Amino acid sequence: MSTPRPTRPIHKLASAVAKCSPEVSAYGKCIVADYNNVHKDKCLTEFLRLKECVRGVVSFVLFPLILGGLMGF
Amino acid sequence: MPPLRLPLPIPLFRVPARTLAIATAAAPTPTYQVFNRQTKRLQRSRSIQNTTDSRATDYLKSEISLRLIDRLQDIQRPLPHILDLGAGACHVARQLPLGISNRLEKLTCVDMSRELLFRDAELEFNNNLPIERVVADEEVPPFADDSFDAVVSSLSMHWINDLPYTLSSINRILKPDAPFIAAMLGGDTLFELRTSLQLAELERRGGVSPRVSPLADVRDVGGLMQRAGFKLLTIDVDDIVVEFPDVFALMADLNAMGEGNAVLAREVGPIGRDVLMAAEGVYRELHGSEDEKLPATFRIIYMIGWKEGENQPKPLPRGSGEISMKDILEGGNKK
Repeated sequence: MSTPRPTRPIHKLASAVAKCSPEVSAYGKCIVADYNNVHKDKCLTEFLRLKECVRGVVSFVLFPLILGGLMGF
Repeated sequence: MPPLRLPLPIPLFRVPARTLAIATAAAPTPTYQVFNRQTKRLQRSRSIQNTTDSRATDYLKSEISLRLIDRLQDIQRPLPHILDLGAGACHVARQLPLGISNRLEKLTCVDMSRELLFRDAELEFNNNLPIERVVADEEVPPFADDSFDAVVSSLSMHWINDLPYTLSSINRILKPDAPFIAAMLGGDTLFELRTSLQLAELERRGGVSPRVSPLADVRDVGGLMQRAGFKLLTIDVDDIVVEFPDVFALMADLNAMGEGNAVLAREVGPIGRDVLMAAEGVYRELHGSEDEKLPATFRIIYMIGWKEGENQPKPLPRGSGEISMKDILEGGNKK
């Protein structure tokens, strides 16, 4: 689509994930390394790192805005 | 029709009443149920709530309609009345070249979603073409026998539950010696998405659920067409690879096309964020290209079949050949 609307949660998630490419790639590598033998929580560590990063980006974007609003910028 | 009180009007009134009864009796419910047609109708109708997004994702349907029309153009005879089954927003009509539209008397577009069917009803191409829009389930086309000079169908038949039934209905509504030309998604369509979601869901949740539809294979299509009574079959396959920035864009586009998951056995509700994030990682690692794009393959099966007609070329009877293939293959033209 030509103009993604940032208001939709899926677009927020997409842009957050895009900022965490090392973590995304590490998780992908862990799965693909042996994809015939995938089981639950096989790559839990990598996934948690990815999730942490995505969460960090989302709050990193929001935090300065809130702070800026409070300080009257 | 209730029993009539006066003897006089019986022959007058009975005739239309009986033809109506026949038309509905010929439409029993299909036996195989894989897809939820009601869900599909809702998805198509919802997909046009944002008309800009819906039009922006026409690229696949437009391209395939063009390729379908290309095949239609090979037919030299005039085709006065064409049916577009599962027309969406009448993509075929919009791109019909003058060569065909000049000779056209009526083009009937059928789709089960009224909203999608009438999305482009205000656009200019409608003024130059005799288009009739009919809201009906394309699984059971509601038309009389021998009524169309050609039936086309572009990217709609992969949502049909009972293909043998629908194909034989199409054969029934075609005039004798008239062509049926269709393009449907099949085989390995979206295999990248299918495998990534499976691996991601397996690792995150410990199991898989059907996220991408089961699709017909090229090998099946020939048999299906033959079973439905079509003659002179031509079947070919085309792969279109579209590149997306990420898996979210791919899935948003599929939704905007009205092509979301409608498998009956699916898990209702959206895919969780965790699985989506995980799928992004697997997709990128397993299928991603060097320039950070994610390719998505659409495999399109084109089929052309003709209804049996009187002066149609037919294969010669068995054993009537006079030249031996063995001689040609082994000894050139030696006699």
